[in-house]
Amino acid sequence: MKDLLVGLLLVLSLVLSGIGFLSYRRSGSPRLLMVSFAFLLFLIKGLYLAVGLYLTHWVKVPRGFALAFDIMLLVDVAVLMTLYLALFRKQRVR
Amino acid sequence: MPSHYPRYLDGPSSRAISVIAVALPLFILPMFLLVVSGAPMVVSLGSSTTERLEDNDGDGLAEFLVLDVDIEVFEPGAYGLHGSALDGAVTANAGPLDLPMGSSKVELRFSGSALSRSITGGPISFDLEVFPRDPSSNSAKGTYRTMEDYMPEQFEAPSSGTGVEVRILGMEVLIESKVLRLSINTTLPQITFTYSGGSGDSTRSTIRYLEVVAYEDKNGNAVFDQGTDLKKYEAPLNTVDWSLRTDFSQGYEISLHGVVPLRLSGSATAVAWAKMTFTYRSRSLLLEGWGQKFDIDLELWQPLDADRIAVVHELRDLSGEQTIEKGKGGSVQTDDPNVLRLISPRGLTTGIYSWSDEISVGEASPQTPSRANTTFTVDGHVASIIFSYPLSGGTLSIHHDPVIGMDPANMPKERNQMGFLSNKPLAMIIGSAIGVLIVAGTVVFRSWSERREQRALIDRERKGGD
Repeated sequence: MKDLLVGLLLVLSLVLSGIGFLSYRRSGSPRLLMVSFAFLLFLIKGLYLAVGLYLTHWVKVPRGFALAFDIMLLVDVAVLMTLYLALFRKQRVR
Repeated sequence: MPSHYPRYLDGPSSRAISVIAVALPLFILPMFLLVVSGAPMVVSLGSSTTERLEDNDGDGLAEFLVLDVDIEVFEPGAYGLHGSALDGAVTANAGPLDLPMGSSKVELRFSGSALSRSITGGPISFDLEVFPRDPSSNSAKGTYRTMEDYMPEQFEAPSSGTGVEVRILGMEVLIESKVLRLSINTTLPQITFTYSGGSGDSTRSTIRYLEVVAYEDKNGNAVFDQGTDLKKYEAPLNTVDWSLRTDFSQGYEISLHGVVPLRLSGSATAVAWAKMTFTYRSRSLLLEGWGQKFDIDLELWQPLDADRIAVVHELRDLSGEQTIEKGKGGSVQTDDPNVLRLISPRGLTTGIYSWSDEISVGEASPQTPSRANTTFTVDGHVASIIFSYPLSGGTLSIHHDPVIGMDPANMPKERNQMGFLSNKPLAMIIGSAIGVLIVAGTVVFRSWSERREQRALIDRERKGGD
């Protein structure tokens, strides 16, 4: 489960960071820059987990911590998914 | 130049007065403290304590850090020495030792295993305390900071060649093999035993030696029948002043000994004495370290007016989970005819206490083969056991060697052995792919819905045009 979630976290945070920076370049709004930075932090977290888990083995998840680790990752992914879907949701023209 | 001193303190006499003024308190103060404290200062720590590493197996790693502690004795007698460092994580004891008047060197041996676990590198500061056997006298305290810096990698666990580690932790001596962990109480004839490692607590058991009884065997059955046989002398063992001796020069030899005052039954007066010794040696460790054979020696100082002498003791489960059964079983093949086994809730043999009927007796030393007789009753978590030894033929010395062990076949896995989740890079790639699919799906959906809206808009415009 954790491996799947790490993959999702990586891709979603990468896409959202990219979209955020593109939007910032278009609009020049500092608020968008800060939002992009928040997504970048998610991306750094995903990269750290991917490198630590699969390349360097810095990160080891104890069996007793498996569920908590999965829940934390799931919440991260849910946050990113919500923001991502919010981005694509069209504003209804009244 | 005018003097600042008053006239009567000026000149050579003033210097003498000054010297006396300084020296007198230096002399009076300790005397005053001595009188006020009410306890004589009989010993102190000297200044020439030295340190050295001991590498018995020559592999470059030290099994012990030895302090040769300098002790100044003002009153000859028995003294003990205690040393500790790092908030008690590293401790060692020596003695009691009969020290003569003057300066003596006493070894304190700190185990390499404790040092390798506890130190972080650099000099080590030891708290030392030398204490007299006589409780009315004051102990002397001091500190010793090592001259050298020590790193944890310099040390290893003391080994007897069988992978056994011996540690002295305050009031107990721990002997730990791959399978068995024995804890020897240093103030009572009590041995606690369990599996080694972190999973031992569910198999903790103890053997407590409670009483020595010399009796007249009224019914001649050679065992001690309480109520039938006539108790002539008795000595509860918890009132005996027990002393520990350790010798690590070749493996380990740990002996707990005490002088047992034998009172006439029903009286408070001791009329005879016996030295009782429990000895644990590395050479008596059984194959693979599953068991420790230990010696029980009784040396009577006077012949007793009794037929036999009995050692009353009990085997008790401390975990609350094990029950005691008699008879052989489990994976351990023992030649001893008498076996008590501790049984886990799953019905597996864990602890073992076994003994032979063969003993040695003698007048001066136990050299003549003889036989012990045993009675025991098992009641759930407790077994009461009585060894009965003959006192005929001028026997003053008795030697018996039971075994304590743990069944190696049923050793549980360590609870604190933390497992880690395995990592599946393929699953991570699949997760990434799902993420890409979600993004691609939303992009496709968005462009499709945009195109549909555009088409709808065009259609509306066309209809409007028509």
